[in-house]
Amino acid sequence: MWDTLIISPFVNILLFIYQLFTNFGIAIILFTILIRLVTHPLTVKQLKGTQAMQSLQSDKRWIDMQKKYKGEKDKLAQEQMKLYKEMGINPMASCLPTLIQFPLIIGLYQSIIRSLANTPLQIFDLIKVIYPSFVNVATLIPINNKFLWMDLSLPERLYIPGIAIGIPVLAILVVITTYFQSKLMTPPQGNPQDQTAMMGNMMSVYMPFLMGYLAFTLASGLALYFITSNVVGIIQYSMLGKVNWRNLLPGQKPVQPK
Amino acid sequence: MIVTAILLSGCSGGGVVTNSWPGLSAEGEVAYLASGDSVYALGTNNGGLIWRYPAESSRGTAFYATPVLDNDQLIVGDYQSNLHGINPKTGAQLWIFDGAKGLYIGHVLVEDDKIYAPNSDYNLYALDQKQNVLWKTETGNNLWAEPVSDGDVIYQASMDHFLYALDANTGQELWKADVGGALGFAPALNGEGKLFIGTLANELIALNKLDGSVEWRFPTTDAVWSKPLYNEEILYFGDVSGNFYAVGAVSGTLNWSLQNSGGVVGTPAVIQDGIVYGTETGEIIAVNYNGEKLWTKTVSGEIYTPPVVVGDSILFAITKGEELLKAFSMNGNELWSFSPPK
Repeated sequence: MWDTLIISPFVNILLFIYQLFTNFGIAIILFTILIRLVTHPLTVKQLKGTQAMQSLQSDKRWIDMQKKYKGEKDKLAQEQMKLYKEMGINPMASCLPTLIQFPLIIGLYQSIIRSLANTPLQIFDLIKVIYPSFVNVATLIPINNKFLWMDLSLPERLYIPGIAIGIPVLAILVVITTYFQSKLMTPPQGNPQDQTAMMGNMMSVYMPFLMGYLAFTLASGLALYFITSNVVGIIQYSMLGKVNWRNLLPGQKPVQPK
Repeated sequence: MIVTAILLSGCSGGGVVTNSWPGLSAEGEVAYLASGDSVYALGTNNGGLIWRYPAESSRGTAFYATPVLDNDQLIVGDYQSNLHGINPKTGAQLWIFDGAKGLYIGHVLVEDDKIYAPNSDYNLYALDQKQNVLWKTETGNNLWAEPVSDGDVIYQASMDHFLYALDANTGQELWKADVGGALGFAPALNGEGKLFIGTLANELIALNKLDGSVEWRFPTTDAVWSKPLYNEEILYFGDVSGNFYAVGAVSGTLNWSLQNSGGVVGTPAVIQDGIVYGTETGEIIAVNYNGEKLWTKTVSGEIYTPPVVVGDSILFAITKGEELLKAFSMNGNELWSFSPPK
């Protein structure tokens, strides 16, 4: 079911792009952009939902309600629901698009890995999901995994003469772009002591390193996907006017974009 | 995002996950099985474990190439670009060759005291008995197939769509033939100077071993992802859609075919009254030479590894199954099975 609905179409689109450009690195980049474009309406919806929730949390009625019904969970929930209705806010509006995007991200990852087959069994599994009328197996395989200096099926290291160890360029770029993305997109929090705000701050510190670790240890094709996805995400948010570059400056408090 | 990251981190330990089907060979009373982190030596009469290689403390690589017995050494390559020489009686390590850079998927060929070792770094290595490199020849892509020899010439299939003929002494290229599709498996060679090879371009092709010229092409329904079996002027092989073919080696015409429930990857084996093969869906099928079924069995798991006939039993290595190896009698009765110790 998962293979039929997600993996198979994804693999075929990815390989179709590869067939056009005969470069798997470019195929990953274009495929990631394509997926981001297709899910753009969901991103916009998610953004609007988040904004609505933020404006709600700074509403006087919301703040008063938190104080008034402190310790009365059921009553607080009832009042919150009333206010949601009154203001026309769907509390699921910010997380539902994320939930829909989630299988797409996993599918994207798995289709990249599936296409980078490097054993006979993996080729056998790959052939089974290819649509013969869409992609020509005979000319397509073996897939050229080489992109710039890297083998996309292996973790990337750049070896420079005179330096004994390989430099993980992609992993470093993943850390930087993930950090930039989370900094630029983190909305300002009303109260910095608020648990959500604290968690957000922690995320923007730890997340880049976690993603960097994944890029360091997994196939570089995946790291290329992370970087492309981060850069496209920043561009997307920037075009929607939701990015404030001043957030990157040290000592600046997050600012709400205009 | 965090959940995604955690899920992704659990998907792979480094690079693309490397797994495949077990490699299996047998000689007399011992079967050698390469699967996952170990090579096992098992008694062919009862499946008892004789030894396991490497020692527990040294496990960390993966073995899937077929182990090859050469007198007093067992040779098997791993997925960390090492070729291992093992004492076949004790399982002790004799030597390691670490001169290649890629995975060892196809097994080695040992002939005239030379070891021919294909590697995924695109090279075929010719080694002497002290593991010195006599020569190496580079092709255009991964070498997953074992080399085949007629005594003077080495025939090496490559994923780059070419079949190479190389001088056994020097590694010099004598000819190469573009067959139009990737070659993951070796050709079968007959006594009349013909090579028969299956391709990912849905064909089985017969070539003249002297110059690589194509003698005939047999179109298949799907990709041929195995080495054909040549027996009594008939070629037996399957495709990834589950078709199984018997094709005349002289004419290249179909004698008969069977449709199976899953892809046929492993090269069939000759038994008393016919041939036997396994499928991706775990079916074991024995047929006579006219294509009539003699018996069938189903195991839990998938079968890609070529079956091995030793004495009066047929061994089947199983992928993703409850057991790793099963032995059957010639009429399909299960004799024993082997599961690796935890």
